[in-house]
Amino acid sequence: MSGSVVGKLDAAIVEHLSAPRGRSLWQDAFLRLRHNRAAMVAGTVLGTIVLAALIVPLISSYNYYTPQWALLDTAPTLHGGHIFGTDDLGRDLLVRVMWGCRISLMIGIVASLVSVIIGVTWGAVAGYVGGSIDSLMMRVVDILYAVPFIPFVIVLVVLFGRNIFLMFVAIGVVSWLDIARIVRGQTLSLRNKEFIEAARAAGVRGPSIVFRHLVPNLLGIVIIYATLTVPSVILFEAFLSFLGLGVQAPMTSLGVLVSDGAGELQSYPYLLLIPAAFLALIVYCLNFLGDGLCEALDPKDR
Amino acid sequence: MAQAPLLAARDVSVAFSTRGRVVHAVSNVSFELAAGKVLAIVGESGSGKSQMLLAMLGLTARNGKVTGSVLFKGAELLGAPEERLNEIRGQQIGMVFQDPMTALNPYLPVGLQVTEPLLIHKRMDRATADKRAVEMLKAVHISEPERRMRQYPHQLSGGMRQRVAIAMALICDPQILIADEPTTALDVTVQAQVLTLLREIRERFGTSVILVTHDLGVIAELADRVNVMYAGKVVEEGTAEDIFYRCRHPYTEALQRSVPQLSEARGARLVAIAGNPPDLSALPPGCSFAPRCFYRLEKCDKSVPPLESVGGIHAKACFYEVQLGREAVTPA
Repeated sequence: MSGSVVGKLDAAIVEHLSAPRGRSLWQDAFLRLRHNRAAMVAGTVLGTIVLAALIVPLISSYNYYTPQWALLDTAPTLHGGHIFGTDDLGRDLLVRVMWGCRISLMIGIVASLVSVIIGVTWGAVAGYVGGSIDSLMMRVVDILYAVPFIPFVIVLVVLFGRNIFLMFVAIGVVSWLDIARIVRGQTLSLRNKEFIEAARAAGVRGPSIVFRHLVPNLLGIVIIYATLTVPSVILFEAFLSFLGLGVQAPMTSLGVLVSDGAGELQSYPYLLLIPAAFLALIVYCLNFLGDGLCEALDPKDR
Repeated sequence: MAQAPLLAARDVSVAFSTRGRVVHAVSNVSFELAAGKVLAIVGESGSGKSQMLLAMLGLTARNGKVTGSVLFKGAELLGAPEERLNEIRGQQIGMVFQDPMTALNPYLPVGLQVTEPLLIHKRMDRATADKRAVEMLKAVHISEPERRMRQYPHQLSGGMRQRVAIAMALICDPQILIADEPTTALDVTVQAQVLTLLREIRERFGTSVILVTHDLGVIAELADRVNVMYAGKVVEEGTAEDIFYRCRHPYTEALQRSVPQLSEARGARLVAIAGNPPDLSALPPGCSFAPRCFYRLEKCDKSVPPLESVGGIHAKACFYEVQLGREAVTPA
């Protein structure tokens, strides 16, 4: 067992040494990630869920919004077409869960992307420019940290009405703060490295230094942080939807499904258990994947 | 001598203010660099060599204040606008740093880094720039340059990385190459290769070189002119011969004596310079080297000796008037 693992690693090392052309740190990282069983299993499961979420609503004969008054609260069954059962309006739970996965993953990924783009730019610029501009930019972050999130979302909902797009904005606006701080700290330590000085001595302008030289060095930590942000954003959305501030019926998300299911826990536990299981599965997978990437990209692990 | 020098520094001083103290890293340093010549700046760690160079390129840290004048082809560099400096940096003045392990970006392929100055300064397209970079890598004796272009710095050895750094500094055909201790971080055999390379470059491209080092052997190999720096000041300047055979400053002499000699008797003790370099934020009122000097005179503690010519371009900043150097008799 362990012999084969060592053998595989040796093969990887030999392959590396005799590599005919350059291999980036990313390719190296991917190679190591492939040897991380937990991360690979997590990746496969996540991939399957994403595929299912994309395909099932297309091929199913049910949709997520039409009530079937004859089939209220049907228990899950392999016969009769509703393998996850139906909810209190007779809607097919399988389709609704898949739609929930779509919405939750979309919010998770888009909001994380938004927060990564804003956060990395903000943090890298603050860290690289330094001085009073740095102080000013980081005080802005401090102030935004101090804004209480729930009242902020309520104000947004009152002003703009309820829609999914607002969720992206609301969550993105809040979650870039952590990334900005992490990136700024990292930039401060990179700024005085010789290769940055070398770039300046070669006449590279400030913006190019930030985006061509600094950001690639930050990507490792940013990717790790982003994969950890996606689950937290999904949970955040679930929390907001639970409070009724998120996605609106009949559209659904995993958070909404869990919230609805919780009300019927005593009589129809599967309405809670199935969406909760998917939510947990997605969050676990992303965490394992993030963890695996974290290890694979850590240069000290080499 | 009649010809205007390529680069002329006049009374350059660099001072850093940190927590209420002012550190005088460089004080009133002047030198000239003629086209195609090699100027060496020697001195121990913290003597202001690197700060001098960074100041010329406008790369001094934010809390540093630079005064004086640096004329490059007759135009003032100090206080020049950033865009103007960016045009000069990398294009007309290339710089090689001390540690090749950290001077290359670990996340970018070598080719991308070598070609960057071309893309910025010459607005070349990728393909032309790549071709030029391969030629340049060949010129610095890197084997299989096409393959190296796609590799990352961690796949190259230290010596190869330093060659890449040199190729990067030379890619735009600069008139001046500044090498800040280019051999310090390399092992001895690789040092020799890099020095040979620098000499070759000077001959082949006619590039002027400013070489910063604390290795006297390097100077003997390469330098036309030598500036010896101590505590931010030039204490002696002259040709390499002046410095090696007719040195007139006790610090220069002490530096030479602290290099082990193969001809020395076995068991002979290596002479170290007693004491430590002075605190640059609290320099003594007189000569900075006086507290560590063999030949200290009374006036050395009171006033700073000026840099005075002792014949030709050879100059020293010392009150002691006796010829020192290898052949001279020195008190034990």
